[in-house]
Amino acid sequence: MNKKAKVGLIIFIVVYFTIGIINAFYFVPKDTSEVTQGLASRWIVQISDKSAWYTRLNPLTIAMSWAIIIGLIIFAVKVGKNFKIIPDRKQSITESVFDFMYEIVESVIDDPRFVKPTFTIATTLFIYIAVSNILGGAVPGLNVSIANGSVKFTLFSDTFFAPTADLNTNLTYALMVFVISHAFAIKAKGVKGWLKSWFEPNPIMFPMNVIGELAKPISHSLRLFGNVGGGAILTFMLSYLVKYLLLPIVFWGFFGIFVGLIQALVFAMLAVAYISAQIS
Amino acid sequence: MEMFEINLTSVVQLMSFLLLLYILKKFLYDKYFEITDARKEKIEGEIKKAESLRKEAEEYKEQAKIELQKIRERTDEIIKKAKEEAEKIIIDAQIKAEDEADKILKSAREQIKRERAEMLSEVEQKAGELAIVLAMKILKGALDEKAKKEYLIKVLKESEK
Repeated sequence: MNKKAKVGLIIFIVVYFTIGIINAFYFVPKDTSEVTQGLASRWIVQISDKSAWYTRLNPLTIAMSWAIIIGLIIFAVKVGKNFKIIPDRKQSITESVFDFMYEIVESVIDDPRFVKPTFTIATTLFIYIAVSNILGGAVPGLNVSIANGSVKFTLFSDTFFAPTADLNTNLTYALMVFVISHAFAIKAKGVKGWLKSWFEPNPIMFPMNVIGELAKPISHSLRLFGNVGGGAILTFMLSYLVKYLLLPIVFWGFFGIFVGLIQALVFAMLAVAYISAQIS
Repeated sequence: MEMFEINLTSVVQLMSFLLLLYILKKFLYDKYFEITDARKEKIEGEIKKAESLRKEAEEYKEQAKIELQKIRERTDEIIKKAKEEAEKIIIDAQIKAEDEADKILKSAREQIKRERAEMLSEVEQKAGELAIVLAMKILKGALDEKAKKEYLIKVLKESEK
């Protein structure tokens, strides 16, 4: 660790403790029910008078995912600009992640035409979800809670909100993978072959196949949602119980880095597996 | 059930994800594929080059081996020749020396012989001269019989030496 990082860490710890103490003594509701009340609620904004699914937005999810996306884009442009045959440190890290993903995708996908597109989708999913899970599980930051219908912001009392803790994100990605896998299947086997695959091994199995296919995106999305959302609630509650003072680093490390990375990998791997199952 | 509500956010998320996908593909994945391909090509080229260089080196090594063998054979030959020559020279020298010695011995013997002959002839001459002188003296009668005998014996003894 160099001097700059050490100074940064010290400043962070001092700020963290100061704000933690302020949080613990002034802003934290004394009543436990007040905390748990807003736990399962989301900050939802209605953008028009009409209340329908297309007029309601989760601003926190969008803001966090945009923050992550902008960060990733900046990193991508910065690293991608000086991609060389002899790599530097950042390029090596990027390449080792890509190599790891590429090897898995290559071993799972039989058709060489679909290796690169699948790799692109799976790696993007993995990077995005991993960053989002780590940010939402291990990095203390801005926390938004809904109490009695009003939005309350607190700093460093909990980790950032992970976009993957919102079912909107997960279900969208799972459905996207579902659509992509079937699109690839049509491309690989033709429309006839694809239609035929629904009636295999026997036409009686058609309803089973439909249910099986529909279950895929649901289980795919709910797995990630349950892990990240549940982890966030657990971390939040445990942090509250220790009054935010004792560093809940163990929970952050476990739910953020460990579970977060594993779930990101699982999500990406399942996407690859679903695509592979469809095109083969 | 706010937690499970699906709303417009999903559309926004999908669009932002597609944007992320596009930008990552343009800035990272394409470059990654490009670079890995280039690296693969370069490594393959280097390996081929190294292989050919290795072959060349092996050829050179083989050549050097053969050359070394040749040189060794030649040096062996030279040494053998030199030894033979040396032996020859020694034998020659021995023969020559023996010859010389023989010659010297021979010439010495001859000389001795010659000198002896010379001496003998000289002695004979002297004896002759003495005989003549003696005869003269006898003839002259200047000497008595006894002196004559003694003198004669003396001369004879001398000449015998």
